[in-house]
Amino acid sequence: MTFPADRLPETVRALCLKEQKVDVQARLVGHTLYMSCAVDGLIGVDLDFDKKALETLEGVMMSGTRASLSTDAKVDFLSVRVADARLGSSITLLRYVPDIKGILYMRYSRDEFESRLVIETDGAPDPDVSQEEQKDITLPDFMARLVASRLHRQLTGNPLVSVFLRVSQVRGRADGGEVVLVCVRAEDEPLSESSLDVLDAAVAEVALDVFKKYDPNGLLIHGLLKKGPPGNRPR
Amino acid sequence: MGLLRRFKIFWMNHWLAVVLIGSSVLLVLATIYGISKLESFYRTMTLATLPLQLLMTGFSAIIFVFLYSTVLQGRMGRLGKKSRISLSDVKVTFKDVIGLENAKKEALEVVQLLKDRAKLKAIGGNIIKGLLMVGPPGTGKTLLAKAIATEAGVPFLSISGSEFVEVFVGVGASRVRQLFKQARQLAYAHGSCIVFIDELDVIGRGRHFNSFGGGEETNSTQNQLLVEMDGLGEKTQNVVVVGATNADEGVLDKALLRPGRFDRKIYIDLPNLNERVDLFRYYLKKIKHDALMDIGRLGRRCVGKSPADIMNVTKEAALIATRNKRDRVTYTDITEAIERIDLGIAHPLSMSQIERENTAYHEAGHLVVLYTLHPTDDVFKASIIHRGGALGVVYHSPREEQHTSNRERILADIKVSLGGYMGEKVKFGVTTNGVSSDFAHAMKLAHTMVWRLGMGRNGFVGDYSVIPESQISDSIKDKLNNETYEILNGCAKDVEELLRADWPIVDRFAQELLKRNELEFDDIHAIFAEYGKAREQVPIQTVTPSDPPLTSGA
Repeated sequence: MTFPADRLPETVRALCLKEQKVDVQARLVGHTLYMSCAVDGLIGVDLDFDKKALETLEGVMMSGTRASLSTDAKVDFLSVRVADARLGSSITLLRYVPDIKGILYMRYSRDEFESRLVIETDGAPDPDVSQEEQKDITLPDFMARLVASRLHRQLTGNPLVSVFLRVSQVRGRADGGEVVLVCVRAEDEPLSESSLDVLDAAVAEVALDVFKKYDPNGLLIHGLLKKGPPGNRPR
Repeated sequence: MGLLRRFKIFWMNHWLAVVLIGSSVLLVLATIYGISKLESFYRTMTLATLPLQLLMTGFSAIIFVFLYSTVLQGRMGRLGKKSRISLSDVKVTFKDVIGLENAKKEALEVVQLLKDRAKLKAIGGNIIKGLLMVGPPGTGKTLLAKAIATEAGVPFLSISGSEFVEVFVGVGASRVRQLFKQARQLAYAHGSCIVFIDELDVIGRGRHFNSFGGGEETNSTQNQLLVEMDGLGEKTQNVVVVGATNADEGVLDKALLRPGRFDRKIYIDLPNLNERVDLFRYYLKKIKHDALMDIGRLGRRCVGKSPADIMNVTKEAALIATRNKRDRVTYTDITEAIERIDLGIAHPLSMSQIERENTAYHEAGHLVVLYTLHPTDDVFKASIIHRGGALGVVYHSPREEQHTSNRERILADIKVSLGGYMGEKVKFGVTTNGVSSDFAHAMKLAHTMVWRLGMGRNGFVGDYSVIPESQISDSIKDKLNNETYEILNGCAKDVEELLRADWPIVDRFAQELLKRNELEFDDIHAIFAEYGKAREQVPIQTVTPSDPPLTSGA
């Protein structure tokens, strides 16, 4: 094997240093490979992602992909986190490794592959996330975060939708066989019934799509719980 | 041969294969190195998809090679695979070339020049570049070329002139280049090489250039041939070009015939009597035949026949003997073969009695005039069986080779042609349209006598056919035409007098033809003898075998 299991973090770090000239921190926690690094200037003056930063991110993701495919360690999830201390924020990409094999074996299209990527942002500028926060990700966790990520992208993709529904963030987690989605709204004003119906329908559609792909027999997930900020009607 | 020379020859012949194999080996090694350097997952994936990729690449390569070889290059530019003939395939020596003693003497000189090329070069001489063989078809030009190659012990490349001609312009010149490149390689390896171009007149005719500055496609082919034989480049290899053609020398381009190209010419004629007898002996040796057969008589019978014709006759005779369930070929089979080849297959038609009588008296008229008046020809057969479009035929041929025709002979030919017409006229008072071809022949001969050969009695000398008719005065034309008519009418009158005088013989022959359909030479002679008109038989010469065959050691 090119990347032996007992030295996986070191070899990944050496690979990134050699090919991307970036110093990354790598950790293998259970079946999850965590990689993180710091960049300067994640957002450029044109208010778009900086090209160099994106390239760094892609490069680190590629190195992580290569390592996770060519190792004898059982790596199911690959998490790459890039933090910008200046901006005070970070971006995390999370991939299910069998999805990577699937696209290489041409089982599904590129669009489908893109839709299986979890993209999360947070305000933690420090790339060195504490070890307690890095836990072994399970498939239900991944599914929950994927649903949340896709909903977030749909809701924030069109600025008018985010204005009407007033949702600024969606978070997901798995809790004892249930996927819990938390919608963070910009205001505390309650949504109208019709707006809630629209939101419910969107959530159900995305969740159903994800569960069908990763848990078609319903063995892992048997419920979906939607939560809003205080004052909103729980569903 | 030194090691370096051997390597050079090998490289010249196989450079493409060496480059392709070498590249393939390097690619395989590079592939193995590349795969070994891949990360484990990608290496596994590449090896897993390798068989399918190889299969798809193989299919694509096969399709490409097929298209390339058939459409782009294979059928158009490439020479035939059999252009190179090895000495072991040829196996023809001077002993196998019957007759052609003069031609063989010249050929032997060429052979000795090729064999002693080292000595010749030491003196500072050059071997000849080209040898042109001119002669009628089937006289042994190709055979002689093969014998030259065998006796000289050098490689032999054979190609026909028509192989250079293609629809696409430039292909002919390309083939010439390929041919000479191959020849030079062989000459480098073996010291010399012979290139034999059959039917040279296809590409060797005088070049034509149109008013727009262009020319025919064969011009470019011929230009390339001229350059290859004696062009600007330094040609150090001994490549001898032997060309064969049936066409007259005047047809070939003068640039091709000049010294430095086809500077040696061998004229190959039809075989004489002795050579024909030798040829019959040679070909009859290969089949079972009657040992008592008079081969001399066969030789006399086949005046004007080429060696190829004689070979064809013996083959046809063997087929006839087999068809008639005989175990060996007899004289009868051979004569039947000669008639079949010359006259065609007999197809008896159902004719009315009056038509048969017309034909019989027509042929009897020809026969009597021919036998009585002709100075050079013998009658071998008279027939009223339909053959080759004619209802009847009187088959005759010269007793010996004739290279010129005098007035007496041409007049005799005219009278023979008119004999059929007169036979019908004397017997029936009317004639048929069967005389049309005879009249055409007679008219043509009479016209030629007066207009071209100066054989008229009016004193006009010269060939008036080369002058445009518009430039000849009407009075001269009238005089010439009148002279022609006089000759024809005079001949017709002579024939009528002859036939009326010998009418019993004519009648007898007609009745015999009606009874037996065909009469052979002996029958004809016997009937004339009955009436005391038999010609003195020319004694059959005792034929001795020709001179000992020429060998390269002579």
